Amino acid sequence: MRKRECIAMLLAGGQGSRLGGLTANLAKPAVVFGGKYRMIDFTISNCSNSNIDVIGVLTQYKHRILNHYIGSGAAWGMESVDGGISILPPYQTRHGGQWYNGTADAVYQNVEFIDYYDPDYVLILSGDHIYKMDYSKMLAQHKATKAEATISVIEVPLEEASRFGIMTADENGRITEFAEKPAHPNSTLASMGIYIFNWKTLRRALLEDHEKPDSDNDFGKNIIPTLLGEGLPLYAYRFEGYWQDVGTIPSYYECSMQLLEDDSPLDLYDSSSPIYSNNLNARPQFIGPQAHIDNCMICDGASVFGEVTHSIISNDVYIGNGAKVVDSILLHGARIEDHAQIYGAIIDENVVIERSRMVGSPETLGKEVTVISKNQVDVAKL
Amino acid sequence: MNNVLGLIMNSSEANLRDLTEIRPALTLPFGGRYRLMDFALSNLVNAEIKKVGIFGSDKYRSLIDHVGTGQEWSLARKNQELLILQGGLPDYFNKRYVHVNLQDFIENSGIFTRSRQDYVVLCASNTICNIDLKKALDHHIERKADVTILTRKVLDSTRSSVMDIFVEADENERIKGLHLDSEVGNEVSMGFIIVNNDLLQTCMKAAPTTHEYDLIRQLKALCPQIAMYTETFGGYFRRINTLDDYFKANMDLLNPAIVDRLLGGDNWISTKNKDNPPTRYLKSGRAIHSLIASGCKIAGSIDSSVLFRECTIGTGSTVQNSILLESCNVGEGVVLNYVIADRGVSISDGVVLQGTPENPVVLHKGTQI
Repeated sequence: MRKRECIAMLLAGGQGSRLGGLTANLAKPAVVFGGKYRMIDFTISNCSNSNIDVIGVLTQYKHRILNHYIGSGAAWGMESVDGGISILPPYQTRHGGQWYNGTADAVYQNVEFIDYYDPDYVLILSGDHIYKMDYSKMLAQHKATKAEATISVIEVPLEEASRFGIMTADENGRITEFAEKPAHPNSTLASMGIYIFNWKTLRRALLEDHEKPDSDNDFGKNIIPTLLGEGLPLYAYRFEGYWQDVGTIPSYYECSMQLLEDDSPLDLYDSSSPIYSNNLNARPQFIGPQAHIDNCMICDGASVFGEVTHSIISNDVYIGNGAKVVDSILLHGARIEDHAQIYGAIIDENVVIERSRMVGSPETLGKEVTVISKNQVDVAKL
Repeated sequence: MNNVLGLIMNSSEANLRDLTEIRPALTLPFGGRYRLMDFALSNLVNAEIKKVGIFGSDKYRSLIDHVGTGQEWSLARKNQELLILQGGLPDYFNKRYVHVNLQDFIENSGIFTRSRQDYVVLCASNTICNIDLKKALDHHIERKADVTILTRKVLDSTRSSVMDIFVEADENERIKGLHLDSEVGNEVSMGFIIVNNDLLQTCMKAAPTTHEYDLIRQLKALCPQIAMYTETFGGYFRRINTLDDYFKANMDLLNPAIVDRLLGGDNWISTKNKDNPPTRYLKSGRAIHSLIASGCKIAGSIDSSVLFRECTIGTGSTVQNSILLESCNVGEGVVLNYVIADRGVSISDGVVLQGTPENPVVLHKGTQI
């Protein structure tokens, strides 16, 4: 059965330049988050938990690690016959080739992929958001309202509203106005960058948008305002729950640290909506005879001999004897040698902090965060 | 290693009271996330053996659930395969212990006659080790052996189990005799035996007429006529026959040198993966000197223990010198010392359970106290 009611197109080509060294060598959706996960796990798991079994993953920037990680999609239960995950990088045609120039252009260039499945609806997603969502509820509203497009929105504080695409909706949820990053927002309903379109309408809009030379080929800036301008029924879907776009080093750090609260807003332990990942076959974590652990999250393969307080320790991390790790995030394979001290830092994958070295300091805890990557050090104010 | 067939036996002699009453030794949980057969299976796969058969037992469910299609060991591929074999007959026949039961092989004779494999590696299912089987196979082929028995040097001559095969070898590693009932010899079998397929076929054919269905006893009789060698391995090794072996082997993993050599390195031990979140230590949670799997929520303190996946430990509880299998739920203010709790055990607030190193408290699967 090739025909699908709804398929997902997942935008995963972003560079995420504001994450500094963390995205120097991999695409933002591949950045490690929450100990064992990579950011894209959340969106793919949401699809899996919402019975969406066809996903086109649009990649562009540094996609080697991302492609390898996604593989066949089996880790997320996506290895279905004639479905599953297809990785879609830019490609060449007889008329040459070009990069994806904007979110809408990336989908435009893969119209044939979508046509193959002949879907009624297309769900547009981002691979770098941290949240749990049942897209089938959004689709149910989309069908019930007979909308041409439905945009998932979340209530944000007014002072932050100018960072987002802001919707104004009537009492039935029908969108009356849309402003991309407005200086003076008149609503607090922010677009989450999650859209459901009727495929026929989106297909036409993408083809028309492609012909406009001055278009940015962007969903938020071009496609949504155009459809709204045509007077088509566009509805807002109010999402209530936890959702984060971790675009910067401080937001990555703060969003991670929330996982260490006893009543964390993102419940990774709720088995009704599990977050899947491409698991390593690593041994259980080893806690040494002199180790001290206080309020942490620790993953398989880790070895802890030193003292770790209020920190997230990913797979295969090593923390040596007499080492001290406070308010920090250690990504896969990071190695903290004996007597090194880490305060308020993010240590990137496979980075080694040598014996007795100090990163950050007790004085700067809570004021700034230091990111140590392979060839780069970033310090960001909190 | 296309011409090698790996076979994992059902070592039904292992007796661990409540723990093996409900499951075969093959699928006995071990070391926080493994099952005993993961060691034999991973050792075979790490030697690039592409076809592996497992003899089940009368309790198949946990085996099938655990191995699936063999995908975790890269065996679910078109050029590699995992076979669940019929048989796994009891080890005793006419009140005599049978080391390797040829009746099991005869039940599955098709896989030997159809296959193009020249060599067969027989593995006991209750051994804990991480060894280079490829080296043993290369050596077997190079010196044109008919049989190679993987052995360890005998340190003291006490027989730990009826399974032990004592081996007498000369300085060229050529076996002069096998001793099944006495403790003669300088080496003891590890439970891994390489046999040429042709010889195995001969032994299978001979069994119905001679009524000798124990492969090892047939080999013992053939010893002077065939090229039988030993390959001696050092390093960490345990065979799990009793609850005491099981407890000690789990506690061995609290030694960082053993855990890294056994479970780490390039030749890792694979097992069925689960999508657990990381383990969370809450504000009152503490752990020292322990091996802890993923998905646990710890609000109490853990010392010198092994915790399997998805265990929950309540505030003010202490767990010492204990082994908690998957999904155990320990309430608040509980004290556990020298306890082995099978899967899904639930312990109410304030309960105190105190065992001893020689006699740990064993809680049956799903017990609620």
